[in-house]
Amino acid sequence: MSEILKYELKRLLFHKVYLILCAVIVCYSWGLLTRDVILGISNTAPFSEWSFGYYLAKISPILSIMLLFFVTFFYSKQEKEIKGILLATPTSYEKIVTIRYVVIAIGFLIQSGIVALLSFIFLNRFFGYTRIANFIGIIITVLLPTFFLFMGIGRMMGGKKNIVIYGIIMMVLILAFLSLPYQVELFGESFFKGYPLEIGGIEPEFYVPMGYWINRICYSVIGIGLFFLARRKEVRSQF
Amino acid sequence: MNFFGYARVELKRILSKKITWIVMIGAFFSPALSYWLNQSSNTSSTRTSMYLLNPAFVGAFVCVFLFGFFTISEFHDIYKNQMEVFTDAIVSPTIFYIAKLFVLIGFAILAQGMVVLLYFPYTKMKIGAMFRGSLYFEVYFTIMFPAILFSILFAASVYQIVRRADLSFLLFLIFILISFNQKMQQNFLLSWIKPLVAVLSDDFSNKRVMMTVYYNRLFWLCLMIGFCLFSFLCIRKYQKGIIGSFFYHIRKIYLPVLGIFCFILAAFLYQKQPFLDHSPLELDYENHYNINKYNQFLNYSKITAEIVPDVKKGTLQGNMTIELKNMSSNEQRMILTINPGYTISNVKANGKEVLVVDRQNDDFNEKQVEITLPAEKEILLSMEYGGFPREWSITETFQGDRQISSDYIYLDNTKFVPYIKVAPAINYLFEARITLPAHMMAVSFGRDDFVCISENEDGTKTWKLQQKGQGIIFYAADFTSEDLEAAGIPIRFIYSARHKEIMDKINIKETIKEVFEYCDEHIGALSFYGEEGMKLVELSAYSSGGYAGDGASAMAETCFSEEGLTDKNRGASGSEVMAHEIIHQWWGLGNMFMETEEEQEWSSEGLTVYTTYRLMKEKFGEEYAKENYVDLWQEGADKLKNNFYHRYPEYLEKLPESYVALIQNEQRPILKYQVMPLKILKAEQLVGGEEAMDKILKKLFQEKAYSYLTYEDFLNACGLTREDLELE
Repeated sequence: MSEILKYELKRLLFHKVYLILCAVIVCYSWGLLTRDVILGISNTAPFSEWSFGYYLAKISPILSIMLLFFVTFFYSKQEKEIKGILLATPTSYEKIVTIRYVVIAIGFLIQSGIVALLSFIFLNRFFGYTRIANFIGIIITVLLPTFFLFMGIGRMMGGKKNIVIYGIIMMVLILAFLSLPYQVELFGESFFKGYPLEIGGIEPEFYVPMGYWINRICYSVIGIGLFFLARRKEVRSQF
Repeated sequence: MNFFGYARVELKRILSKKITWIVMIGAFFSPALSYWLNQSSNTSSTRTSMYLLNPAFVGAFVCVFLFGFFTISEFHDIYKNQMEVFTDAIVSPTIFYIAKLFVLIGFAILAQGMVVLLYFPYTKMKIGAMFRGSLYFEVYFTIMFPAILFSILFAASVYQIVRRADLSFLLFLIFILISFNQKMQQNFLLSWIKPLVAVLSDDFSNKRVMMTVYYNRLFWLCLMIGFCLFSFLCIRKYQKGIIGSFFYHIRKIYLPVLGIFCFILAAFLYQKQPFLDHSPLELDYENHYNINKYNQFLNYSKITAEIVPDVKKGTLQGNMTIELKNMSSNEQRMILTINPGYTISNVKANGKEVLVVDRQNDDFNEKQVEITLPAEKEILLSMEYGGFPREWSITETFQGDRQISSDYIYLDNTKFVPYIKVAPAINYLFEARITLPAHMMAVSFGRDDFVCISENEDGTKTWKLQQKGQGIIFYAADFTSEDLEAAGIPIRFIYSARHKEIMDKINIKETIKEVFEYCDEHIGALSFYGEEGMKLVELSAYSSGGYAGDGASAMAETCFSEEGLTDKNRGASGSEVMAHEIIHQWWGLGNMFMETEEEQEWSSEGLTVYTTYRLMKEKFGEEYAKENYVDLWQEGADKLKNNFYHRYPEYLEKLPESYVALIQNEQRPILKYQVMPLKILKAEQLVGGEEAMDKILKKLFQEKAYSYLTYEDFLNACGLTREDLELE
């Protein structure tokens, strides 16, 4: 089991596409930090929770696109062609698929780690800021729901045709440019940029309203639901 | 079968696919999206921008996606079904690649041709009398078509290198995402989908800005051809992988050589761009004024300049002679400042060549040239100068203002003639002669006027200007002028002949009179204008807004747009900018205001914006004035007050200089245009209302029209302190 995990991890993490994407993430994140975040978001400090949340919300569509892209790796034509061989091995196919999603999760985690690390380096270098523990909650609320959602959507749609995932990637791009109310938005840009202004006052304290909690919980539940629904379908289709 | 045979077969195959027609239909409708996006017509823009530039931009944006993905899908078509085994046996993969590329580019030309032909009548109808057919074709074929071409070349090249549809698709998306990076979008060479054209003029030439578009396209063409040639090396051959195929193709040495040549050419074009100077983005006023010190041992009695612009090339050549007096018995070094795009040559003092050092120290859109003068009492210094006028680097996103073209010339100060850092003698004179195409009228911004002194045999006219002082702002265009009178002041209104129909339709004379009469009544009678009266000049849309000087106000054409001046509900647009620039005749000429680093908010803008507000309040009512002025000022003041760096300036010290400049440049206009008018409004309330404020302003205008009006003077006149006017 661990051998398969190691093998799949090596396949993904040392894949040239993965490395290219990591380089892209580094460049984009640094650009965002030194261009937007440095000015402080919605009149708050560049090292405020609001500014950090905005930064993550801006990166989130890119991370989501990359996650979907990893999903397409495992549903490519070649992968489908070797499905027959995998079914003939002693390890159950379901386990292999589960391992692959664990690998995707690790890949996503590493990229999210790079994003967070860059911001910590930036805040430390420019402002001498070190209290990074303040941001852990924000990392979870911004990135985890979209991670669950796109894992679910990816597994649901990837089983059918990869072209559908490309369509979803396009949708993610469009969503990234749309400005929706924070109660329904996917990535959180409106919340982190608009809510401090809505609260009013100078440098408002970080506060997450119920509407945003519900939003994050809903997307997480939908994502997890889709993931297990897709799993059930896959298991059934084997018989 | 030869190359064209393969191309024909490929053309037939692509034509038979549904996706081809979907892409063509998408391309056709793409420019129309801009009409939908701009439903609320923008009255502060020009018609050419709204109905030609914007559709071309939107068309380019949509088509980049359509043709990029179409290209990847077409190249992938053969390989996804592993048909390359058969095609490679029939035709060389390189030939096949080129044929496919040609067919796709052919489709792009077809789609573009279709768009250009079918949108022509609608665009012409909407732009009306200002429509120019040549500009129409120029815009579509330099903005929209090259964007499509580059997307095809990039997508095809990427596919040849990685040979995977998904990865090509992703890299293409990344390429587009990077293009939308703010830094890329603010660089006129790097923005390939939407070149940096902020506006297109209806009434005047767009040559200068279109030159930057051509240059941008040339730069990207070199880059894309280089990339495409590199991708040729990766075309898979004999079932080899990328490395094997690369070493196979590299034997055709001309491919990498040509590719490298294209990359080098692109780098050269980037490095040697002739449009912008190299002035630093941080504005260090203190250093600028200190460095430009006058030589106290020298003075001049006469400067004569003869200038001949080359309207085809957009360049200028001039000769200048200066009559100098050296009051010392030593050699003297004289500094002159000139536009960084110009060079100075053949410098002679009393007929002998002298030492000239070009310092190449661009700053504030000028560079210094140092001339060593002989130890002689009377010196006649002569020189030649000329070149292509470069714009200031900080105006990169709004280029096109200063230009030399066949129907519009706008040059100011050191772009017109070098400025010598020498004080004038008691009796001094500046004389300039310029030779222009016959249809152009020469106009100077200021009291003195150009006079036509000769009509030459080659179809040109020579104009002469005599004035005191070296500073000059010069315009030439197919102008027409009208004389009118407002508040007892004779006014010469100079505007583009193309705009005459609209000027008559919107009854512009009445609008101008209204502003003059209001200011005359509420502030006082204007006295500083020339014998001929006052000049109002219409400039091209690139001037964005306008400015005022001694006896003259200049405003961009957008101030006179039909939509802006006739829509009563949208006063906060063209007509109000026009009023603002006229009101500057009362507030802000000559030395009336001195801007200092310590008191950035006190400038001519505060009182001018306040007076514009009062005029509009009288014209459109209190509610309108509050919504369009007071609320906006308050918004700006709140934004500034809440800004993190405004609250904690100590953090600014931690930032690199470029960020500090960025933040300060953002705050400066808020201080001048929003915070100060709000303070003046507060003063109005504290002194007892509008009438009381009018009395104070009248008094200040009479007393300070010819001297400095400081913030302290204003506060004293109001009987208030700085603290009284602090905003909450």
